[in-house]
This record gives sequence, structure tokens and C-alpha cells, in this order.
Amino acid sequence: MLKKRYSNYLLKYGNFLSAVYIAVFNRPFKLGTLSKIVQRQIYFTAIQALGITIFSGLLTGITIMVQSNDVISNIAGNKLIYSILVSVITIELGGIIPSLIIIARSGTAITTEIGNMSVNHEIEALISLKINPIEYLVITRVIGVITSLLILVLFFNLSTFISAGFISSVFLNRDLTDFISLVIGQLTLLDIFTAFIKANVFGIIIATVACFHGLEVNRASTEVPQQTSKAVIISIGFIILFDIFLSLLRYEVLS
Amino acid sequence: MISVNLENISIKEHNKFLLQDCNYTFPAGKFVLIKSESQSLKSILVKTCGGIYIPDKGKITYNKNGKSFTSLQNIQSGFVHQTGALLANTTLKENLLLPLHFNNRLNKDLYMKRYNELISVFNVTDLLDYRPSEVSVSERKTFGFIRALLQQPEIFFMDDPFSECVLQSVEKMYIEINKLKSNNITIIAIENLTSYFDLIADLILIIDNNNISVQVADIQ
Repeated sequence: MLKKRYSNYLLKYGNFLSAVYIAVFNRPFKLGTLSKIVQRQIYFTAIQALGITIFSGLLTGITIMVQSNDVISNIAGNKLIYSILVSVITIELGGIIPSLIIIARSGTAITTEIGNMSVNHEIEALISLKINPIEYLVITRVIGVITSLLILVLFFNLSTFISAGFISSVFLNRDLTDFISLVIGQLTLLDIFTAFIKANVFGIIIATVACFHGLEVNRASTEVPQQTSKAVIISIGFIILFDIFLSLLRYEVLS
Repeated sequence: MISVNLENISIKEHNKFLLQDCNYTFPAGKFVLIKSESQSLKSILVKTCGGIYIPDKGKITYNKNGKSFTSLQNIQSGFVHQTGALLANTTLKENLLLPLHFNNRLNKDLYMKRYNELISVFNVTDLLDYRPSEVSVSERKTFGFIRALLQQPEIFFMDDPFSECVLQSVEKMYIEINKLKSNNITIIAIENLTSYFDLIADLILIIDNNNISVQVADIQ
């Protein structure tokens, strides 16, 4: 029963993704109109979330630096701290924490907005006006969320390294130039590439899952919060799964 | 002129057939009023004919100048929704102008000319910068009606356009519908609380017992 429920879900979500794929590659875009919606999406998803993302990044950098200094430097020396700092921030937390921020702020907003549009027959209105809802609602949000996530990942990583560098030089009495050169020395192109791919994949997951659940709303406004909570849980689940998969790919195959 | 052909159409709601294996051709250039005991069936049928819903079984074809189409993509159509169905996050002006950016088949000059004409006829110029939630139900429905008219329709669908509308708007809508009718635009409509269409419909389609059973032709 449970297996059937999951396979039905995956089938429906798969069909939705293929409809998005077809809309992306088979239709000429009305870039002028859609770009306004994308810009608005980036404003709500990235610009308005910059403060909380930078704040989270600063706290993460401080935590990692203090914890790893306490535990690791006694066992394995200072160099390992930088290695951990780079891999934990760039490859793992740098993608996941901004994704969680976007799920909490924009993923829920997208599902709620599209769900309410469904209840108010606005999706039907779009169809009757020959406006493809996938093009108008989904693709704009996918582009917006991916771009926003890339921006937030960049700011999160920068703020984490800044706070870690600050703690390292002010409180742990290490040379800031050494910190910068050691961090840059540990950072590889493959790390940056992995972080970039993860941000793209996570962006696609967050936007498509949120839109899919918004469009799943049929008649009642009570379905909106139900679909929103489902979208949050499923987005987080998919992100953890794909994070494991991409990390395995990076460590086991590519390196 | 467009005719709509329903071929073995079945429509289900909550796993119950509302319409089963129905065949009917809505004639080109005629005003057809659908009547039924079931209010949801009427709405679902007009939305199915309007390409919004896909029937559970069967096929719909639209015939235009001897050519047959399985969707309304290549045909200009207008649809008046029961609730107005305006996009809540855009202004009323943006609601009216949005299709212009997406539908290549629309003649832009004609669209803008008609837009200026209609907002003046319906006296809604002062409301253009408001959002749908800031105006009355009657005004929302009026904007929904104007939006449908702006689509330069070859076929026009109406899902209960007059209910909850003030008399002044109803009168203006009625005049515009009559203009469409005199231009031989195919019209498929339903109304629930009013009976204005009884006066101007060419055909009344009565749906009973899950099927199109009675057709009163040429009532005029």
C-alpha cells in the first residue's frame, strides 16, 4: 500500500517534470513578460533572504572554527581545520542551509500562491487565455529559485569564511594571511563545481516540488496548508537524498 | 465560424458519471444555451468544450472552415468564468493586458483599440490600477467579461456571467453578447440564477439522465 503510494507520487511528479522539460525546450519563450516575473521571484527569494543567509553564514563560520579548533587542532594539527572548513562549508552546508532557508521562505510561498490560484480558478483562466501555466508559473519560479540559490550560496560561503577568518585571527591568534592562503589552498575547482551543481539541483528540486504541490490543490482552501507541509517535507527529503548522491559522486567517482 | 463536435464524451466527478458517451455538435455561428438540473455538470461541460478540462473519455473537435482541430490553440476563443477568475497578484489593467504578451495570434492594434473602447463602455477606467480583491464581485466579473471579449473570439464560452452582477453591468454585457451573436460568433453558455439567455439563444440543450436527451431547436 505504502509502496504503491510512493510509486504513484513519483510517477505523477515524473510526469510533471517531463511537462516542465517539454515546456522549456519546445516553446519559444516570451522573455519580456517572463523576465519581470523572474526578477520579482529573485527579489523575494534572494534579495529579501540575504540578511538571514549572511547571519546564518556568520554563525556557521564561528561555530565551525570554535568547535574544530577545540577538538581537531589537539589531535591532528591546524591544517585539518581548513580542510574541514572548506569541505563542510563549500560542499555540504553551503548548499544545504541556503536551501533550507529558501524552502522555509519561498518554497512555502510558491505552494501557497499556486494552491490559492488553483482554488480561485486562476489556473483555468490562464488555460482559457492560452497561457501555459507551466511556462507562466513553473518555469519562471524554477529560473528564479536556481538563480536565487546560487546568489545565497555565494553569500553564505563568503560570510562563513569571513567569520571563520575573523575568529581565527582575533580570538585564536592566527595570522589572517595564513588563514586566507590555507583556505584558498584547500579549495579546489572540483569543490566549486560540486557546490555549483548542488545549488542547481537543489534549486530545481525546491521550485518543482513547490509548484507541483501547489498545482495538486483542487477545490478547497484547506488543501493549501496540507500541500504546503507536504512540499516542505518532500523538498527536504529529496535535497538530503541528492546531497548524499552528489557527495558520493564527488568523493567516490570524480576525485 | 466554428462548430464544436462532441464524440462519445464521458465526464466523471467523484467517480460518478455526470455525462456518459454523449454525442453532439454545437452548430457554427449559433448561440447554444445548456440547461441541466445539475449545476456542476453544466459548468464542467462548458469548461470541457472550452478546452479547460479534458473529458474522461471521448473526443472534442473544433471545425473551422472545413479544417478540424483537436484543441483551441489555433482558434481565438473567449471564456467568461463564473467567478471572474482574475489573477489576484496583478492589477486589473495587467489582467486585461496579460494575454497580449502571450498570444501571438492576437492583433495588437485591434486589441488596444477594443481595450480602450470596452473600459470606456463599462465605465471601469478608474478601477484599472486596483487589484481584484479591492473591487466588488460584480466589478471582478465585469473585468472577466471584458478580458474574454478582448481575445478577439471566434467562439465564446460563458459560465454563468450575470450572477452577482449589478443590473447596469448585465445590460452592457447583454448588448456585447448580442453584438457577438449578430457577428455569427459561436456561443456556448450556461446561466444559473438568471434567464436572460432564454431570450437570445438559438438552441437550448437540455441534459438529463447523464445524456443530452432533449434539444429544443430554433426557439426564436
